[in-house]
Amino acid sequence: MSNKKQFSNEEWDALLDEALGREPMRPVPLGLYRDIRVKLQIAAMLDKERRRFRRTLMMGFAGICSIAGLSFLVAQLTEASGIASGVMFGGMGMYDSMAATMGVEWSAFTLLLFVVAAGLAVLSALSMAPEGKESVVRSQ
Amino acid sequence: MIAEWVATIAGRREVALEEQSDHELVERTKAGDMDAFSVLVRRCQSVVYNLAFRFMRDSALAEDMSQEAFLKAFRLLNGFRGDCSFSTWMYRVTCSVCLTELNKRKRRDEVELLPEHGGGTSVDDTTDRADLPEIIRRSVSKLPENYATVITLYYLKEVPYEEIAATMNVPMGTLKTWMHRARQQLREIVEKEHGYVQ
Repeated sequence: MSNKKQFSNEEWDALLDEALGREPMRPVPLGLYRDIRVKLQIAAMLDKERRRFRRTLMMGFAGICSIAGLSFLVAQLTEASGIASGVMFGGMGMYDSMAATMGVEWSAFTLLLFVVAAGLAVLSALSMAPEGKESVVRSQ
Repeated sequence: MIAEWVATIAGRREVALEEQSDHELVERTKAGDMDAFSVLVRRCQSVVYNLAFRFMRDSALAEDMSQEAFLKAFRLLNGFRGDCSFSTWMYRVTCSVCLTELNKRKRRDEVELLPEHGGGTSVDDTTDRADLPEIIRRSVSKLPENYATVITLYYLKEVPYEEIAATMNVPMGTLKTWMHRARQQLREIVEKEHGYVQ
């Protein structure tokens, strides 16, 4: 047989006040602040490294793009194929071979697109690093 | 001599940081000043630890959750726009960290079901009135997340309704409804599960 009792409103309010309202504040553990500081320093170092790596990667990507662009421009403006054939004996054959291969398999435009897409993929992968997933708590 | 001089400078800097407002410290932290965030940690650690304890009901877990909350706050600080106080925002981060951990434990069936009463679900189980406060405290984690947060924040140093509403990002009317329902549900849980006899 059940001998349960239902609380009256007043009784329940008093019980809640006793249980939750008058629960004493517990002292903070002695090592808490020190542990938090250590973890924060590690987190700051990781963050710094992540940012440095991202910056290096972006600079590398920008460097490669600009070198490719400049090379293309220089080649167009100076007619590199003519110079190569004049200056370097046998160089023209090598150039022709490479140009033919590129022409058959990838056009210059496709190659450029590939480089840009690869760069974007790497950058977006980096931006979805752990901190991106932690935006559950929206700031006010 | 040099060590003394460095200590004096560091001490003065610490005092200067202690005198700054939370908002200024947040701005300094965003600019890369770790010491500024340490001052914020010192200011909030007591409330954060006690808030975590009220969710987890275990001092070691509460310590872990406090550390996790401060780490998370540090990582997310750039997204904090300062529309509410830092402490309010910190309450929200702490609640989120604790509730996530509780949910993980619930999924793994690791939530403690009042071992001192052997689960206490039997109808014939009776409970001494002296144990009731502890039973009520432990039953809070069985409430839905928003109700558990509301009731915990309300009774922790009696945080005013306005601040709880800001923490949870809900209007006052909704908050009062949640508070009422939280009390009712908690009462039902305690009455149903613990066969209380006066």
